[in-house]
Amino acid sequence: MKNYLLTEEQIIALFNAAAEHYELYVPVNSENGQVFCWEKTARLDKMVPSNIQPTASIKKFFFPNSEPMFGFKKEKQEIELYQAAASVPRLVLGVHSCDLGSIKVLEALFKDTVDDELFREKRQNTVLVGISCSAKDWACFCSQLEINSRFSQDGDLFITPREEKYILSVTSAKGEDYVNKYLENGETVAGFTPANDLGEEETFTLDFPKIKEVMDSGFELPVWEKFARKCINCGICTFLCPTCHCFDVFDEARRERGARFRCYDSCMFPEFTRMAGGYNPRSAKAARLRQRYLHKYKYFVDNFNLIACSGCGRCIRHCPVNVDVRQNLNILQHSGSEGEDD
Amino acid sequence: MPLAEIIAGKCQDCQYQEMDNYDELLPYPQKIGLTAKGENVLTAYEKLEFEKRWPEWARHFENCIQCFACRKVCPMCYCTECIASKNEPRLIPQSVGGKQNTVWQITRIMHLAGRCIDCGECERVCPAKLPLRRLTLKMRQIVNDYYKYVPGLDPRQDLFWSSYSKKDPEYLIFKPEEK
Amino acid sequence: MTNIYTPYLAKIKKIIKETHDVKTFQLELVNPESKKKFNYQPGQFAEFSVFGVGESTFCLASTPTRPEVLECSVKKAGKVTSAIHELWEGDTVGIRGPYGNNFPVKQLKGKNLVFVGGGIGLAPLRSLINFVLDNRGDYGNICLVYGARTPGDLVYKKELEDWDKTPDFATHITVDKSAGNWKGTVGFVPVILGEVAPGAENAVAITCGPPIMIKFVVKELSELGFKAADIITTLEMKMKCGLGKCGRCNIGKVYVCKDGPVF
Ligand SMILES: Cc1cc2nc3c(=O)[nH]c(=O)nc-3n(C[C@H](O)[C@H](O)[C@H](O)COP(=O)(O)OP(=O)(O)OC[C@H]3O[C@@H](n4cnc5c(N)ncnc54)[C@H](O)[C@@H]3O)c2cc1C
Ligand code: SF4
Ligand code: SF4
Ligand code: SF4
Ligand code: SF4
Ligand code: SF4
Ligand code: FES
Repeated sequence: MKNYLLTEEQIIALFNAAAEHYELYVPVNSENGQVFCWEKTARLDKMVPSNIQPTASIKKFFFPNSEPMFGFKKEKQEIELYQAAASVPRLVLGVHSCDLGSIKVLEALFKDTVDDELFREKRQNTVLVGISCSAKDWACFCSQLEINSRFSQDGDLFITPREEKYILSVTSAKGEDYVNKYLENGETVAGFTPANDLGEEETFTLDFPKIKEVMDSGFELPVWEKFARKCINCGICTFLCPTCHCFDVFDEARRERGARFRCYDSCMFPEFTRMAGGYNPRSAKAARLRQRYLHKYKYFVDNFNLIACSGCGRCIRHCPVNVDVRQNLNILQHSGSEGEDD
Repeated sequence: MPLAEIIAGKCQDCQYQEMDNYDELLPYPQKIGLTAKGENVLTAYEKLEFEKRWPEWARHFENCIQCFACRKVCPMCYCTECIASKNEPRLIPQSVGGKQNTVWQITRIMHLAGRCIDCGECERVCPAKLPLRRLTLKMRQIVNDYYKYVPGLDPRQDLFWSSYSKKDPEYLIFKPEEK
Repeated sequence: MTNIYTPYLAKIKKIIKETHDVKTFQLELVNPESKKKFNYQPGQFAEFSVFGVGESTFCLASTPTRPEVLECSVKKAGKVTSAIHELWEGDTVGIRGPYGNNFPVKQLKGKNLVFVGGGIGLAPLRSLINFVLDNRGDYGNICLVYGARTPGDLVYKKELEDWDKTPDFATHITVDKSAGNWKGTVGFVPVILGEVAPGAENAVAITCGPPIMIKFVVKELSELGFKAADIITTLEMKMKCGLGKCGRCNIGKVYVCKDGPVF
């Protein structure tokens, strides 16, 4: 891994140098103090902040809220199909370790068995620039998932502030290409040791192998009902989650032209599994919440050997009724050994 | 800690702290309602010039992710099948984008005319932080101006959607000058 | 840029009205290239698109041993299926697949086969039955127990008659409720299965139909001496992508669309 020591001006110049070929995305504070998503900007004029984790996760760039998969045109009995144009190269700045870590999960899923070109093409066309996080809040639990909030090699480039300057670490071949192409006389540093995670003020430790063990045998546990009691099935937790990838497929057409789209869907919605004729294998709220938890901490581990959660805390922070996955997992990890009271 | 700091935005301009249809009234620990009577987020917003309003809304509607949490949380949304989930025919576009989201939100607000009790929950839960109360308050204002109806205020009053009077204004069908 | 969600274009060559709500569509892929790529086995399914309306999942009811036709039988159930029923011969549709696993045609060699089907569930069985008939020497005796709600709901009537005349092929057709001039058996499929009592010796049972029927059929089969390993069923879950990506068809860690539908 190559590391450069750069001044703020140099970093800004490095990203502005490519502005002609790349769309630049930065997290910025909007008027109401909330950052919903990275926003496109023509030029960078100051360093991106390190304390912003946008509400919408990084998956939007590769797996947008809704996207056309192909277009069609009808003429009498004939059909003509169109493919979407290639995506524009993008440079996304100020991505935190949790979001960078989550991409592995989506990559595993989208390339499994058959490769999903819609996802891969956008991922290949995007340079992700991480930043050492200085914004850990009450909902974050990335360190429990062995993600270092202060450093990550899951993106393409990574920025760590050091005194008045910045360390730019090259963490992928794509990142290297970028630096080779656009960095003018950068000074490399030897012996850079990335900062360690600060940890969380968590009162309990989540033991994921233990949790999985409980889940392996715990399909019918009474706790599911308890966890789900206050959930309103709004789906916010899955729409915002960087690792959730469920989608719906549908057509939209006006007269002879139209397109087939996919858009986010959620296992928290009752309609998700409802079949023609009305039968629904997951008609109960508890069954849906259980699907979410089991999918993230068990099925995905079974199928891909990865936990489908990066501890970003969005599902906790934005849940309207305070369903807290950490607390629930904590109850779960103890319910195996002691038996569930209640 | 002062109440003003922890209280929900909606409670700051609550107009109904002293209702008279209770069985038992527990004393409030502290008086809420911090804004002057009649002032709320809508009155504050309407001071903004008209031309400046749409660009801001356009941006907000772009942000909506169509999670429908605003619908799920609403105590007055009670349809067993929401118009936004119906697929035969599909009336609310399923794709997500500024225009489509505007259709969704305007439809939701219209459907809550005469029903919305201004609990402010939709605005509170929205992960994209759309200022939805401006819309719901406006709808309540229109319903009240035209039909003298404030949902939930008087349990003896006929329900807005199921009552009809010859005196009902027809502005929604005819323009006022055509009358 | 192409992607895995883009279907092949296909023309509807012929539409056969099976019952008041089931039609069979004979399709031909438009592009000879895609014809070559579309290699399927009995038991697999495909995504059928009506452009402008959407996609739905159907079993391939034809057999690869008769490559001239690709058939799907569609029961009118909702939005997409209604639109499919309104199509004309000559219309262009989309077809994406084949997806899922298939019946273990190799392991079945030399075995006696017991088919138990209900309603539209005969579609995937038909694929395998015709496959077996086209490779007759490889398989033992065939027994079919097939039922529908009423005589009017029986699908593939013409073929059922032909099968009945085929040697070493015992067909038992039943309806839940008699109507019109029905002279055949009346009774639920699991009950008739019990009466027919096909031998479990060197036999494999393959069943497809509504979940409730499958449940009782499996019970009946085990009473007849079939071991769990000798019973093959197909499962149904709501599907969208057919590729293990959209996330809705899992039963535990198993995704029916890519690990099933044959279990
Ligand atoms: C592996 C498999 C094989 C099938 N084979 C056949 C067949 O050969 N013949 C036949 O008539 N039917 C078959 N079905 C059922 C058929 O897919 C549904 O009846 C059909 O999708 C209903 O679609 P719709 O749009 O008309 O209904 P709507 O109620 O409008 O449903 C909307 C969407 O929900 C999904 N959906 C709804 N119900 C089901 C369901 N039961 N199963 C899967 N997805 C569903 C579809 O993706 C559909 O696009 C099969 C289902 C599966 C899973
Ligand atoms: S965000 Fe909370 S209330 Fe909404 S679906 Fe998720 S757990 Fe339930
Ligand atoms: S499950 Fe929650 S904490 Fe984990 S990645 Fe998803 S939103 Fe973040
Ligand atoms: S099944 Fe639920 S938890 Fe799993 S990816 Fe889909 S929406 Fe997320
Ligand atoms: S307005 Fe907010 S809560 Fe409603 S659908 Fe849009 S993002 Fe979700
Ligand atoms: S403010 Fe009105 S529209 Fe919003 S949730 Fe409350 S009752 Fe529903
Ligand atoms: S149908 Fe999409 S995952 Fe199985």
